[in-house]
Amino acid sequence: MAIANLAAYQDRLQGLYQKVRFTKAAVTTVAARSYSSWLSGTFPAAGVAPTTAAVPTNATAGSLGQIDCAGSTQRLLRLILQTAGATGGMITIADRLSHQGGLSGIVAGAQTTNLPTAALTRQTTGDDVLLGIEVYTAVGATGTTISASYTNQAGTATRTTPLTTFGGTGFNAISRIIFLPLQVSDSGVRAVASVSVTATTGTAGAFGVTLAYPLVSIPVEDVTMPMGLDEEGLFGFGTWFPQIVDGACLFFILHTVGTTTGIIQGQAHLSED
Amino acid sequence: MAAGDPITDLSDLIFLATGGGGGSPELVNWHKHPFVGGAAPGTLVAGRLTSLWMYDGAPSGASNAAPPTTSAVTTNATDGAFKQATSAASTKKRLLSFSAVGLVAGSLILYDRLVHQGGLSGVTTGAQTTNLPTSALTRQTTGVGVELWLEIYTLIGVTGTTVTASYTNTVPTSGRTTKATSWGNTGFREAQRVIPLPLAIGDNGVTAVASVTNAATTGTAGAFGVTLAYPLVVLPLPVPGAGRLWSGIMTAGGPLSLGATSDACLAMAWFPNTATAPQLFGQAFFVEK
Repeated sequence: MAIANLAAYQDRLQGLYQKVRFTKAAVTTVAARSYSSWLSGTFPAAGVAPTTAAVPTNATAGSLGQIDCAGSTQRLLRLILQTAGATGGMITIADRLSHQGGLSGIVAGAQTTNLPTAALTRQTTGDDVLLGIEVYTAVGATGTTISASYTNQAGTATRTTPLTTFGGTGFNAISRIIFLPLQVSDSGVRAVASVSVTATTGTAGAFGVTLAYPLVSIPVEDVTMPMGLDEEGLFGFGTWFPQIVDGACLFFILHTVGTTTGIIQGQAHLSED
Repeated sequence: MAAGDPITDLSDLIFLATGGGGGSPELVNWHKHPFVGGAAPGTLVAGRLTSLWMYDGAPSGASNAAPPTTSAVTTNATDGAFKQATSAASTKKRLLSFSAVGLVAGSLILYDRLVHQGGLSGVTTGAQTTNLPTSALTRQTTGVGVELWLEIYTLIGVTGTTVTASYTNTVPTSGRTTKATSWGNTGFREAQRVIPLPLAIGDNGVTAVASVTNAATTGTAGAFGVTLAYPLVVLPLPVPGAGRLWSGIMTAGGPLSLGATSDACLAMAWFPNTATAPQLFGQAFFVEK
């Protein structure tokens, strides 16, 4: 259901369906690389590294844990954030659609442990779904490359991502999420069948595949001081009112200008159409 | 409702952007990697415009194995584009906002890639007409604001020279000649380099290109072509890791129309502040009316 006009929007900002509060512990980062909040506590509780392929939901530890509003349309209308360090960057709220783990940084060639990924139950066409390689225990310091075999948004299997960097500084630490580029002509991912590390990174560590659907990205531009931020859909999100489908497993994708995200506290305000 | 009806006010915009009135709100998640077909891209030079058309990413980059040859109108269905949905025949697609964060500092240019062609050589002197003239514009058909870019697909030579093109302006008057500009050698030869050509005095756009002329050989044939581009957004990213948002209602007085045909070939170029190739992550939001 659409929001009819500005007055209705203002009503929804004031009469919220729910506030989802969160406090996420700092994640150590390399500046400007993408990181996942999945393993970060303390409220809601941190997620755990997955093993077998699964569809995480709002009931899965690690998600923001919002309540479903079956039968109507739920939207993120406002985000209030406070970061505890001069770290800045950009915070992206995403729906974690499917994940698995148990892959190794020292096995060269195709790995199929705990693969293929679980079938999508949200964003089922796969269009605009991103294929992330998420590190749960640091892999090695030796840089190599990585690719994956996947099914694209048209349902075509055995598509192969072009090689991209894996292992080494910026590409090996815990919570790092490396989004893989897609084969020419593709615009999304439905499933992943295997992952291939070209050569050993030197340390097995543990990593997995995460299929994610970013909903909105909020720049945290003032990087000179601990930052408070209060943004809403009309202006702060760029006139975007992200729909939160039932079961969505909300988590953060984080970019920083420094070496830590700092503690991130805040509230996500959801409305119901 | 007729195509191109204006979005009347904030109420109308909110209604459309939440799916009312045939607004069809659309999200495109995108990222770009510093690879072209899984290999290192051409060397970047600070302050020199670089095309991200071939860069790997999602949606995918264009095929590095098959750069443009014959002239073609590029659309939202062309590999390398954002691939946003074509809007209904009765509506226009509009860009609501565009966000990005980058690994290195620079400025990101979002543009409509109107036409491209390739197969030109860095060693041929005199007018080259291979795969020219360019295809007739199907978007921005007056040519106003359309830029004439030379885009390098394979490294050309180290010998510096100059280049010009013969084009049709917005009047449309054919036989117009661009001002000579640098061509070949560092900063003007690397793969993915874009060199916008300056127009003849009095001109403010381009509708077609008939030929391209190297004043002298650069020493290596390489491969390059003509791209006609219509820049839409320039998003400065001065701090690595710090995201930025371009918002139509905050910046442009409202969502930005992508033209009457709604099949804009949205692509990106990069003004680098450093020789490190960019890695970029972002989103684009669209609505129709």
